Amino acid sequence: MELLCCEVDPMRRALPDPNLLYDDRVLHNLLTIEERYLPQCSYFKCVQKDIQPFMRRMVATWMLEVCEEQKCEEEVFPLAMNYLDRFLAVVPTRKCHLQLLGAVCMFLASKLKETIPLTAEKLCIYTDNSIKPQELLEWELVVLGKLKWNLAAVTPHDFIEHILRKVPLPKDKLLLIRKHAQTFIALCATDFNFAMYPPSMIATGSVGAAICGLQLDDGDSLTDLLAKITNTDVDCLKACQEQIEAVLVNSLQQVRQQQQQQSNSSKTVDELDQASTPTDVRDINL
Amino acid sequence: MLQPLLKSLKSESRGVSPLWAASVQTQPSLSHLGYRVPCPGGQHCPVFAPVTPTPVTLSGFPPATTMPLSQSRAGQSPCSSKACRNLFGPVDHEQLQQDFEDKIRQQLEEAQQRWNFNFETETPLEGPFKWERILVAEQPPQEVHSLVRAVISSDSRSSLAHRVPPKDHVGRISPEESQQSSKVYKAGSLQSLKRGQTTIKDFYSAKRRIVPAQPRP
Repeated sequence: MELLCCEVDPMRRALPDPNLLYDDRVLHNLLTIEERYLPQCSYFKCVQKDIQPFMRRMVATWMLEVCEEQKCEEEVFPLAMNYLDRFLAVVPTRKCHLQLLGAVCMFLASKLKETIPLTAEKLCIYTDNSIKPQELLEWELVVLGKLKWNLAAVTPHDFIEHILRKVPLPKDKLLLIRKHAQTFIALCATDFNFAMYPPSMIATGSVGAAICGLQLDDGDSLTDLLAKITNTDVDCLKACQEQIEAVLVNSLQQVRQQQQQQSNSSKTVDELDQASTPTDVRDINL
Repeated sequence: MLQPLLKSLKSESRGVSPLWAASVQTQPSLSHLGYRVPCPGGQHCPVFAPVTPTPVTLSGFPPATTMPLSQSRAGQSPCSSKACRNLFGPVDHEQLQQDFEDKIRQQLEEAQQRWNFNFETETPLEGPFKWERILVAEQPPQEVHSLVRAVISSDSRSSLAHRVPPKDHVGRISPEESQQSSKVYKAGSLQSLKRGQTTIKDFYSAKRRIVPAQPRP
């Protein structure tokens, strides 16, 4: 007798809504309100004393790993980083509480975006039980208060479909371009240099970098078209895209170094797969 | 009798438990005035929790661990993973608790200033909002019905009175509770006062205030 496995993916998704995606008013509104959700200042200079840029990168990398391992929706990680930056821009925070803050931000972003959100207990385990669920719930209130309960922030992901449908692209490559663009967005969220950029610019730059990376572009006309779609200045967009590509090269190098170190110390292949950069990045051909 | 009840209420700190509803019916003296204010900013409404804040999750439901669905979440169990790590060394839990209390107190004070209302003692203060206590006698006679109205003296913001504060949670009160429950709290313009039937949210906000209250004489 054969055994049948009837389990299916529990995540049921709504179909893309043409009313939302094929209406320019939506894009226009997103562009109008996105600035409201940017962090108020470059906080390492003026607010934080204990926290340094490399610590943000550490906590961001950890958050990305947790989101990937828990198979969170793509938006959860950038949204959580938006909460983190907005909180750090107004509240001086101790280094030893930064991971708790990261966990709280993932907790909130996951609840906002996911059908089955991350649980407090699970997140605490991911901090190696250095925080308690009770503390996570308490600080959730603090973070919510500081964010003024404004959780539905605009993220670069909100722009991706709007941009893609306006660029002439081969249909069979669309999935790949979208995936690469999403990876770039996650990469940008780990890097503080992008924290003050409007999400539309990051989205446009990421799509641009994805198309160029796959060698599907035809020169300058692409950048001009992209810039027009999101009303971004062409030079800013070029700079942003170059920056994204530089970050990619950097993180690829890091991965390579890690691989070398690991092979030098004869680690197993399993551990290679958990390198601290988005795994997809390595699949991109430059 | 009152003390143990309060205690049991406090221990039920997650979400709204049926106990709360019962407490309104059996201990009407417990419920004190719930003030609701129209929300001029539209984004930050002062539904004030308590000095010892209830760890309400955003959704207002019990933590997802109690939901069977969460078991089916994709992904591996975290404990064996490399992602499971402590980044910045040991956490000072006492310091954390102290910081938390400071921050919550600070938020409470900011809200007090913004709404010229002391949310701990539930008393209006001097300021741009005029707070009025309103008594209504349309419900069963042995019980007092209090309505509170906040009016902004100078402008026309009262149309915002109907905005629903974001922290309100719906759907935890059974129909008979809402019928039997005696307390009615409202805020807003005259229009909302005319509306005789209260909404679930009104009951909820009233009950939320019972839990943090200190034992009363």
